[in-house]
Amino acid sequence: MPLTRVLVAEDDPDIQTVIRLSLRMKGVKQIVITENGEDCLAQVKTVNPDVILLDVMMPRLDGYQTCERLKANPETQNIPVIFLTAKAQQFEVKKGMATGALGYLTKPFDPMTLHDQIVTLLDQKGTP
Amino acid sequence: MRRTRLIVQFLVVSSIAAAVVLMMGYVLDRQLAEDMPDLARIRIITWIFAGLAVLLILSAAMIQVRLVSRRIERLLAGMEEIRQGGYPRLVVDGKDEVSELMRGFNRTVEELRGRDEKLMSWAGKREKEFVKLTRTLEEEKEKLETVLDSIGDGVIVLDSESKVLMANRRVSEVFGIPLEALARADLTQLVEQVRHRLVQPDVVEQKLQDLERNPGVVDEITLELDEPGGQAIRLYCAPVRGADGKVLGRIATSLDLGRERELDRLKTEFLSTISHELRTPLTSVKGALGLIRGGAVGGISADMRELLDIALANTDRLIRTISDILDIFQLERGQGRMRMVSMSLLQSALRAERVVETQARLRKVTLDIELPEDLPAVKGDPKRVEQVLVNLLSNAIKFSPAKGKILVRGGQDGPMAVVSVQDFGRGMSPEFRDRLFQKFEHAQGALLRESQGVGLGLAICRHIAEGHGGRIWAESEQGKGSTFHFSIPAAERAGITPLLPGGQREGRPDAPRLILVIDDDEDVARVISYAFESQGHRVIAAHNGRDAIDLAKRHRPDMLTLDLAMPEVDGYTVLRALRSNEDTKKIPIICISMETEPGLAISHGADYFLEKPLDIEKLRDIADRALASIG
Repeated sequence: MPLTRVLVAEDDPDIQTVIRLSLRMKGVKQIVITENGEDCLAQVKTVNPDVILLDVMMPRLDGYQTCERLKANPETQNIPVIFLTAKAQQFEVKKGMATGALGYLTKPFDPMTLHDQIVTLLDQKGTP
Repeated sequence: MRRTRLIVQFLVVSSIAAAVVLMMGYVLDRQLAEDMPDLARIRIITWIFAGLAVLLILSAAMIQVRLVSRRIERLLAGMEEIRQGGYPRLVVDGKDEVSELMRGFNRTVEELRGRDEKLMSWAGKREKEFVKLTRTLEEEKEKLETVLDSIGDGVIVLDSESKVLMANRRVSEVFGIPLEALARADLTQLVEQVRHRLVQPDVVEQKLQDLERNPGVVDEITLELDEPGGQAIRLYCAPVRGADGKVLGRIATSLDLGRERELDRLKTEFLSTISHELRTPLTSVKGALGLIRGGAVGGISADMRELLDIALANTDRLIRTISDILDIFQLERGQGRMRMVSMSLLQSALRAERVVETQARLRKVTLDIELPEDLPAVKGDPKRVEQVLVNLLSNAIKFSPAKGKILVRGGQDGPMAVVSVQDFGRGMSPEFRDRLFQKFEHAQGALLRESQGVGLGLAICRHIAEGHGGRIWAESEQGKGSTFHFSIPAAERAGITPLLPGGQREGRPDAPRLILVIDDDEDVARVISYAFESQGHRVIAAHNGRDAIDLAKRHRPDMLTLDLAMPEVDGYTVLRALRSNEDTKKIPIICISMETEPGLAISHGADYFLEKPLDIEKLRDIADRALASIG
């Protein structure tokens, strides 16, 4: 079963398009894309997503800080967060995971399997 | 000149005086003889002339003494003049001893003057030389100071008593002591100055004392500073020896590790930024092309597909190159840490094959992968091993002729497992092959065409192979092809080892299954997972009861293994849940537990039961049976 609602924070408009098309192709009904961490935080409660996809390098609030805030808020802390980013050196991955993210997907990604990769991550970590 | 002795003078004068007095006496006596009686006359004359004689003699003596002492005065005056720095010349007349003395004095003075002049002249020359030498020394000292100051690191020279002989500006900066004070300081004082900044002052002091006791030793001390940014100073101490080999002193250079670490950090940051900047646009490229290729925006013709495949394959190649660049820097600095686990080479080879699938298809090259059944599991980092295999396969494909074949074979060589990738392309010249695994072997001229695209990849492979304790090497014959060998140590037999049981053919399974492994112990789960993966099955894992049920429902695996003893939602509960759910009740379940009572598990719905500690071969046997039973 595909994911129903996905909230994305990604500042590059081209990548936004790719993500949207990719997820829609796999049947995700609601895809909300924000272009920075602050907007993402603002939309979380309205969208109530199954998963949040976060880029790391964004203006205003970066991915790490956004994740930290999400996890610090009891209302949002249980929403799984996955980083989707080009910053994938070992120490960067560690840093990301330390903020409480569920997983890490690197860019560039295969647009045809993005949805499945997300689902696999969610499954492996056993989200209810 | 014949000396006339004083005494002779005196005698002469006295004689003359005596003669004169006697004569006068006689004359007077004759004159008085007429008037006076003899006795009285004798008495008067005697008294008078005695008196006169005495007077005369005294006078003669006095005069002579006077003459002598005057000349002696002159001598003394002359000596005084000498003392004042002059060269007096006495006026001399006469021939007696004193005159001789005076002449002698004059000669001595002359002699003195001569010597003095010679001395002055000699001293004058020496002084000129001295001035010249001093100036040269000054210049050399300045040059040395300039050179020392321009060295970014501190340099201190100490004498045999650890007093500072020379120090450059950097030392002053590092230790926070003004240069003038440095000149008078000794090593202990220097360390005192930084003591409060050190993380481990006692260790440092101990080290310094050791060095003092053994001045002939070359050693290094790292002074870790209790300051942010990993500030540290490393001192390299070496003895300075004289021509006879004796230790004259010591020289120490200080290296600011903080700067080095800072540079390292900057380099890492730079690499990270570059990598990010390159990957981001590639994401859009790969994304857009991938979507079109995947039919997301409509149908595409076969020709379109081919072109898109080319574009995507090369985009992937570009992405791999970027990763390689990062990798090589990290591996060289020992930062590419590898997580070693017991793993299957076949699994890695299969995964690698999937990665280069498109590339192979475009070049119409077939991959023939066959590894022996008894090839042992190896100890390696799965991602890295896969990286090596991808590299080798990718190169083989590049150098293969169209419609060519690539053979992947394996074997055991002592403690090592070896994988070989053979292509039937144009092969390599011996010179090229020898330089193959060096960084950037895009050689000049004739070798250039040979080496296209090999660049960083093989250097990284070498790092990875060696990091595993293995090797990578190549054989080649020009015109016939090349074979690349990659050896990696086999995993030790320790407790649970996923070794293949005999009689089981390892290779592409006819029906790869999906198996759900449930165990709260991640290590155990991993081991069981590998056991099945090496048979070619797909495995997902759950580490608690809730996930287990959810995953089972969602994915409907062909089989599952279940640890009965789990916290929170325990195995039995899971068992019951699975058996009562429509979607999952038919799935064969192998229960694994430390308890020895299989009855309980079976009554709860388990199909099979295995005891811990696990015997992997038994597990596989049972699994095969279970899978066979579902057809």
